[in-house]
Amino acid sequence: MKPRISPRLTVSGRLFLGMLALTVAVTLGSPPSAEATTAATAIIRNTATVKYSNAAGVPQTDVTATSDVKVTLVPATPTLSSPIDQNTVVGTNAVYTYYLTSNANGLDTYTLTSAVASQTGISGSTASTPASISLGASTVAIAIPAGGIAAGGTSVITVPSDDTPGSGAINGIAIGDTIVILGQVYTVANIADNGGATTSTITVNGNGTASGAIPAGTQIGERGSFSLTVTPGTLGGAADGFIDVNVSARDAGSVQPSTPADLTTTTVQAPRLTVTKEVSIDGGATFPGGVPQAAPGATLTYRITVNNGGSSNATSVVITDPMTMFTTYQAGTAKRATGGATTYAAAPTALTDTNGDGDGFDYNLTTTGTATYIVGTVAPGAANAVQLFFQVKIN
Amino acid sequence: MKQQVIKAALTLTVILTASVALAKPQVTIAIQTEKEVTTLQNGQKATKRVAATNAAPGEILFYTLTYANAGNESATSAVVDNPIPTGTVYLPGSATGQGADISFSIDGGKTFKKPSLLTYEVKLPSGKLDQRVASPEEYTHVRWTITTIPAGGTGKLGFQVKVK
Repeated sequence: MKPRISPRLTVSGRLFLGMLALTVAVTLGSPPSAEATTAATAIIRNTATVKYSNAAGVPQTDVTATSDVKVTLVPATPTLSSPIDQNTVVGTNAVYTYYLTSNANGLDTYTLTSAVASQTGISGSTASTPASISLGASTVAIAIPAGGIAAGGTSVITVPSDDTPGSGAINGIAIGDTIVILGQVYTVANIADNGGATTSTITVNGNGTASGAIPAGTQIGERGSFSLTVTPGTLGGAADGFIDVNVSARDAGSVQPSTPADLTTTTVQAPRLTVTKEVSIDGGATFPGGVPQAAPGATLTYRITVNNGGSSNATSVVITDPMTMFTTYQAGTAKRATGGATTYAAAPTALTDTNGDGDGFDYNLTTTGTATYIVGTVAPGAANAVQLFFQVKIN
Repeated sequence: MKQQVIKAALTLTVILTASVALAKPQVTIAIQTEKEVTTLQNGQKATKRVAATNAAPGEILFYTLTYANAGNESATSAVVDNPIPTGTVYLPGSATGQGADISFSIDGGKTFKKPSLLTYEVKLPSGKLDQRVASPEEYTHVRWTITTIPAGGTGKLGFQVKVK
């Protein structure tokens, strides 16, 4: 029996060891940002005191010595947000709001770059961001217990002092700034900007959630925002265009380990026009489908509707309608309505058959035997649909 | 002969001074802060210590405390206290000091003990008190106790910390 049991034990023992190894690996793989650090420009002051007595055992005056070391900035890769892709139309810029959060231990300036990586169906598009953004950062000097940053009201965070006391900003963090601590976002309500080897304080407004425990050394990073403006160029055809833009941020000293980048795709929507033509045999009251029957000499009322189903303005829209065989255009019958389908009688705008009167409509002038209506711009949506009415007589 | 004369004269000067001012010890202390930098020399990596005026988180600072007795009498029961600087942690086993008795505190300098005796009690969930030996990261102070610093005597003490 024994030899049968021992191999099983060996197997389970190995499994257990494997699990241990896994646990260790997970612990080692924790993000470096969680590592405790000290804020840049903080003073590390070492003070030694000597107490001593003379040969007779009488205590003498203490002597002390101090030595200061200033903590240096450790540039770190900032966290860049990824805004949602946008749609736009030619003539309107797409504006994206980006958030950049510092992971460093002090104030640093980040150079922003934006570039059109590729564009499809459109040409001449451009992208721009501000040249740079400065973000403050510090570290938690005294551990904060769970709930130490209350959900409401204000709470005080102790941080190392920087080398510019009284400037109103601690390592670039000032009143009104947005800061991130362990993923939680707070706004700065107040600052006590002391100097030397002391501590200063940052007072934050509660964000609606009580904090967890925040260990000493936890990084405090400012979150700044900037805009990316994408200006569409010219659409190459009737199809939508796409503009891919890369945005990245890098510390001015170019020391940070990697460069975060984000790609947005801006869709430049092309206009989509539809045109319908309907006929009425009752003077424009109803426009039934099918093939209505009418005798020679009867009047037919036509309704031509142009609708823009896209999301951008259609410009330079012209409706042309040559008279069909066996019909004669009835002078002075052209009318226009905008929006939902209406009757001929209700159409509000009369159009003249001549040019030069500014209404854009003519008959038999621009093109012989043809009604021509220069509409101009048709904005998207059924509410902006253009209806052109005119009447003909059956010969 | 000449040398003896000079020596005698020197001794006389000392005695004269002593007779004017009351004999007393005068201890001084100075701190030198250094860090290690790696340099490439003839293709070989070499580390050397340089004076540190700034340091990045994670760097190790080497503190050297030089004491001297500039007085004309022995100093006795000299105690050098050095709190671990804020923003740093003590590096285990780094405290040195020839002829000095080294002890540490984990309670902000109230009590000093040898590392193995630095213990604190933790209340277990069962309610039982568990005694644990403090880890070097928990040290708040280093103390060197020097029984006697003779007149004119000097010595060096040292310890290292890591910048948090």
